[in-house]
Amino acid sequence: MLNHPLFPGCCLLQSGESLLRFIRLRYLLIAVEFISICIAVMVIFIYSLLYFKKKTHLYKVRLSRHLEVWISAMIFHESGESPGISQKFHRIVRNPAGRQFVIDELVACKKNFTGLAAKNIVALYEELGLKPHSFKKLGSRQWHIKAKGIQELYLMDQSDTLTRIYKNTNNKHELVRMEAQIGVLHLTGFDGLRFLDVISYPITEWQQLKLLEQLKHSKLTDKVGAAIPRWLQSPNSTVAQFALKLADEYQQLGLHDAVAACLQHPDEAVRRQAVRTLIRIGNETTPHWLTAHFPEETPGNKLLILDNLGKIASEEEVPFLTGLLDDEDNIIKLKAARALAVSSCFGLAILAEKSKEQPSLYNDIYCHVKSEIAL
Amino acid sequence: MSLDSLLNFLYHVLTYSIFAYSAVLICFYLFIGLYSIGETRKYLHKNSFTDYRLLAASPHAPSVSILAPAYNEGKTIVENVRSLLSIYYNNLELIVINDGSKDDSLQRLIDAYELEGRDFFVNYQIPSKPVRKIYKSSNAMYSKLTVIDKVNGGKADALNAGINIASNNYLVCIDVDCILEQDALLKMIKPFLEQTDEKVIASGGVIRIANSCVIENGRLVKVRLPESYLPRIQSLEYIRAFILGRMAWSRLNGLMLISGAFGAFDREIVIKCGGYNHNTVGEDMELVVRMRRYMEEKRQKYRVTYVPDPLCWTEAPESFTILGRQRNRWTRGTFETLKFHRKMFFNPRYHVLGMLSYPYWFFFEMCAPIVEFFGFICFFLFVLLGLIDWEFFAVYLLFIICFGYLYSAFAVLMEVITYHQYKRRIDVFRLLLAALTEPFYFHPFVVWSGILGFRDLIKKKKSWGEMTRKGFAAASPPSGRQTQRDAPDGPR
Repeated sequence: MLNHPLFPGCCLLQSGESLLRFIRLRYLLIAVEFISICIAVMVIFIYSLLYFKKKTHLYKVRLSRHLEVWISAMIFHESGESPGISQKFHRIVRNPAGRQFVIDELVACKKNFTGLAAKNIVALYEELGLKPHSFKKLGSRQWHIKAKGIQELYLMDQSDTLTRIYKNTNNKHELVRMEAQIGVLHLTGFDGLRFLDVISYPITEWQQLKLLEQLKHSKLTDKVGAAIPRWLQSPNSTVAQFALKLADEYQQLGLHDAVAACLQHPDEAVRRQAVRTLIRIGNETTPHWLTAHFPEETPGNKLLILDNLGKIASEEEVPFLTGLLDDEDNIIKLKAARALAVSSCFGLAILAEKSKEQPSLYNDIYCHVKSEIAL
Repeated sequence: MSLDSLLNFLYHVLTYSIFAYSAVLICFYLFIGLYSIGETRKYLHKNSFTDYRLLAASPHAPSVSILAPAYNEGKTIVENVRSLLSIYYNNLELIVINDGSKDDSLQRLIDAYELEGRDFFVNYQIPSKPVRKIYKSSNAMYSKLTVIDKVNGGKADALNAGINIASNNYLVCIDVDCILEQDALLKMIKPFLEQTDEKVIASGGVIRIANSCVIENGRLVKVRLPESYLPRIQSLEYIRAFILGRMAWSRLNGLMLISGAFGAFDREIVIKCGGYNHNTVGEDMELVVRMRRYMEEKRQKYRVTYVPDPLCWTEAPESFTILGRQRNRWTRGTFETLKFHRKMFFNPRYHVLGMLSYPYWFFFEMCAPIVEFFGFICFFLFVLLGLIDWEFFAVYLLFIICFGYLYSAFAVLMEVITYHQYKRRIDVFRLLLAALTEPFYFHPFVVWSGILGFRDLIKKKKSWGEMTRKGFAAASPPSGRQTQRDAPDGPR
């Protein structure tokens, strides 16, 4: 809310005698004049901006109409050679705004095409002489321009800039670092993950998600399986977390024990991911690892273990789960009951028996679990 | 000391206090306006690299529970829930809490979504009124939907019941009749994925005014500036608060309020803090303050983030009666929250929260109506006594009005530069025109509503007040529905 407390101020200052010593009427008038000029400038600026925005919009609409037809002709040109660029387009790319628009359009197209069409887009980008402009951005001191340059270069498959891009994978600015890491993976696939050996900054979950998505377009190499145990030991806990996600995503069954060892990791997030990965690459020893580790875990991770234990537990875990029915936390009781009912053929019978002990609580849990299983 | 000199002394103390108060407030506004620019620039640059589709489809995306309390929303509930079910997010559950509605809300939901009652163990981790029944759909299409039928207990109580049932790590609390942008959830959840050494405990979104906008099938199709004066001036108010105020406070990590109409929270912290407080009408602000206080006392690094994109659209009050109730409630909510957490007032243990955010809210949000009202009384008194130095008064008044207008114009400028929701030049002109009238028409009313809020506090009034709202569905007649809310939770 915008308050106007100066209203009371001016009411109380009405006689003005005391404060007039500090606020001369003349100075107040100058302030009013100054603010009025600022307002006028601001209003003019707003309308100039509206005019400029509209003009830019119309220019882009006009440009995109030409571009669409022309780019379509270029990217579907089967010979692989460019049909020739008109002078008009050279004129467009000489204008900075037009050039950026053309780059953005090409980048957007490149994201949506593969094969020959994608190659043609890259050829067009090079032929229009846009690469030096992207490369120039790479040297910018402004992080968003630098990140933009990296993005343009890797999306346009400019492999010769890999070294420059790679240098930025540990850049102090988060966005530059993120784009460089994605760029390296884009250009070299799984081999690009070598930045994990040296990175000193954290990789946020958002970035991990982006990296995994980027890797979907690459072919898995054996080197990754060999490198994951090393990354699991990384002093950067987010690297260990990401390595666990890699083991999960690419079903690295042979890494089961190395992953299980991460249950002792000091970082809770790493342990949480280790539980998730173990469930996905689990073998007959996994329930044992999880139940043995259970008492030391945080409440959140305990619930995660119980949520997943039902999928992999066997009759051997029945005593453990039955014991948890007496836990002081009702949610632990509920989740243990669910895991018990799912993993053991006697699970529901155990719960039914328990519900007789204390019907008000265990009967509700029993009915809840039964209702869930029936679905 | 004679009576005359005592009065003279009091007069000077008062004059200088008010002057200092005004000067500090102007400095705050200048600081907020300028400080918000950097954060807005940073967000826009960063956002230009973000592909939110990635999050929508990823199996690694965090799980989210949407909590939507509803009370007597029968006429629109089915459409509102349909709109929420269409939100673009994979790992999601939608929990609609029927807070003991007296109308046929529940039956309509049962019929529309093929709901069946389920045996459900409710763990009352947070106190709430008893849950009568939990409903899930037998149709796989609506598998994300859970409906809770509970005994009436108010909005805070309904949300607490939802928190008890929710199974996901993040909670998004919304008003069921809000219109969300398709990617609203993705944008709200992203800050939680970007946390590093500071735990993100809550994330707030922007609320915009939907009056006069074109809405079809629960989706916002065209943005328009409200035709009526009151919603229009509130649009300006919301722009100022969300584009400038929240942005600056977010940069300082000093946000004390996430609008109850749309906010995301870390479930674990919410539960540890005891959920929403039933004893205040400002439960949205109180929860955020309590969560922050909890983190400060635990000495854990944390952050409350803010997403400046226009994500949530809501209907603003169109009459003075309803607007008055809303502002009355905001005053009471602010007072109650600050009273509960008075320990933090200028307490360095609470860092920015105790040394800056709390005092700002205390002096310039809570006390402002009292100070202004007092000023108005003095003004009329002095007019009657013929004590006014009209020349000085006129110049000083002009200065205040010009400064207020400059601040509003700056907010409009930032809106045009950033999100540019109102494309037509005439709309921008009308916004600027509305800003001119604000100090003479809208603002005195807001001050008066704040005073009534204090009066109700003294009377120990706890109600939200009721309202009739037009509703968004253009095709349907005005719903005339009554809600337990009296108006949306806006910027305050």
